[in-house]
Amino acid sequence: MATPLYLTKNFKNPAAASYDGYVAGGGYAGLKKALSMAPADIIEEVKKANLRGRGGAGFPAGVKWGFLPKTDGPKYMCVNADEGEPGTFKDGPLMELDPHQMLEGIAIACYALDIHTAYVYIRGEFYKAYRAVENAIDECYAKGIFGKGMMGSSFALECRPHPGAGAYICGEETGLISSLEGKKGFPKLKPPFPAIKGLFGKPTIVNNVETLACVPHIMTLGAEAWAALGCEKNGGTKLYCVSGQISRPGLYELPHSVTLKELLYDHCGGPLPGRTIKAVIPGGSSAKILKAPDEIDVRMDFDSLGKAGSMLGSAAVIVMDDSTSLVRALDNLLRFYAHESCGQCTPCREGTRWISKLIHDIADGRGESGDLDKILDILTNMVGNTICVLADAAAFPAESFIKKFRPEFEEYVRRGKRMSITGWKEEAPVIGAGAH
Amino acid sequence: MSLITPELRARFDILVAYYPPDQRQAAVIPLLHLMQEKGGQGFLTAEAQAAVADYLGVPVVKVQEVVSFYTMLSEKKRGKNHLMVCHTLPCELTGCEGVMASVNKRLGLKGGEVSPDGKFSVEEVECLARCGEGPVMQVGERVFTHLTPESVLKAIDDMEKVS
Ligand SMILES: Cc1cc2nc3c(=O)[nH]c(=O)nc-3n(C[C@H](O)[C@H](O)[C@H](O)COP(=O)(O)O)c2cc1C
Ligand code: SF4
Ligand code: FES
Repeated sequence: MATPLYLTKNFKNPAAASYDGYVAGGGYAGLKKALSMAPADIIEEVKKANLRGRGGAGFPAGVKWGFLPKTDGPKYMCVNADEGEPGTFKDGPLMELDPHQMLEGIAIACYALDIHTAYVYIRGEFYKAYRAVENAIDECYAKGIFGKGMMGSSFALECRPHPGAGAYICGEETGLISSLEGKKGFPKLKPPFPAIKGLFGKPTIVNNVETLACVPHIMTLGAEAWAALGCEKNGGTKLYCVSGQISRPGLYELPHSVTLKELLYDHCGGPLPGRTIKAVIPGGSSAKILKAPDEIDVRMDFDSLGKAGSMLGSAAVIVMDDSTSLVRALDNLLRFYAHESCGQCTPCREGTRWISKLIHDIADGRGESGDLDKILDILTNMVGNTICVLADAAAFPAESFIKKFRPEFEEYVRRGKRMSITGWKEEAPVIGAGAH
Repeated sequence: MSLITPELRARFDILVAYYPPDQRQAAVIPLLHLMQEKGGQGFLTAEAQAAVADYLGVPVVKVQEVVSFYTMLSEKKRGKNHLMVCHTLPCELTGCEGVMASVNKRLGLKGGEVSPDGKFSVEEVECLARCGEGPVMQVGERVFTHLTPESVLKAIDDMEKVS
């Protein structure tokens, strides 16, 4: 049975990118309903719907909303559209193909939270998405959604797009706030959390694009129906981004209760011809790797993957088959983190560079037998010692790759040659490549 | 002064009004993007950065800090076609190394160089958020997907003809 689609139902209907097309498909009915409700009841609905934040941490959206102080002064909504976690490609299409769905979610959230200014922080490379959102915002001003008097009510909301300029760390919520303030994208120590002291020093809610895109459906379907689409504590359908060595990579909207095995074999057509799946990163490059087939019969919700020792994160599923060199794969990931560390904290700045260099030397065939333990040792000093969790995000994959696939790493060191990423073929070393 | 044309100034005025009056610095990235794209040069000269600082009423060092932090803002000249080839894991698993080798062989540019005719420069970048369609390359607003060592050469040929 095909799953009914909510978040992606307009993706094959280009007309839906315009206000009129969106309304013709039932759009803004959720906002209309919300405006007839008391703000506190909307927050209650979102809590009951078990909507989990879809930017990576899986924090319950309604609970986060409840943290915002009910003061009269300025408060802000920052929409996190910086999509940069390797493997993730859902927020771009949500904005390009159905921008009003997200804007309706923003309008409902801001009404519920008595927020009168919202910014959509859009990754700098997303030119098309930026334009789609900008156009849709203009339409909303013209149609009486934004500006003074939302849908004839007395509620006023200003909503504006804001471009990033190429820095992964600006996806971290406090880095995003620094960037929106016109500064380097440096994360800040929490607490204080953004809900208390955020943009321009004022109470701020940061939510991911997909999180907000779910909100109109919660209003129209009702909290119970939305919750029932998923599994306990993880309501609704979810967008899964599948990439790597798999027959049908792509974006899949499925119930939150789908298992990784079902996703890969029933929906994505299984491994490439003649191959077997060796390992899967289930939730973006920061998630711990899972071994196939033993560890992939796990539900793709935030809690089940947490219990399985990994995380759902941004739901970016990266598949590696038996041809892949995990040493080369880890070399690639650690170069990413070394490059993207903002450099504020010594354990992160030095740690990411050091482990990246050690793995790169191994990958180039210059590794030594003690290097793997050296890396594991460095990792212990990186975790939990920094302003944001980027250092942990680098350490988790490193630790899990090495611990779960140690014999392969040792075999690679023993051969002392650079091997291709796929096929265990020898290659010339690439000394000094990457971010070193 | 003349760096900010009246048309550019009109766009600046609109963008700055998105933020509270005492938070003009918030507009620095949007303005620098405009300056880089529409200011004629494709990169940000010291004068261009000073002009933005002056317009916003913030010390020029604040603008310089921002320019050096963000990879899309450039202080160096780039090719008319700045090829951003993704080299993050999902793209590497689908063959970006072959694509990059092909690009390097064709253009022969070393890190950051611009081709003598000014048409091309190349940068290996991190995930472009199109990982299901790898290997991926972005050139300005255009995104090329499912690249092969051959198809990327065709894309370069097409850019060469147009520009
Ligand atoms: C290094 C790092 C990068 C992140 N990148 C993103 C991102 O690109 N997009 C996103 O929505 N959240 C990202 N996050 C998570 C945000 O900090 C934040 O949790 C999220 O935007 C909150 O929204 P949600 O509650 O709706 O998920 C990142 C976190 C870290 C530590
Ligand atoms: S942990 Fe790393 S990325 Fe995060 S603030 Fe510290 S140095 Fe920057
Ligand atoms: S890894 Fe290349 S687009 Fe994401």
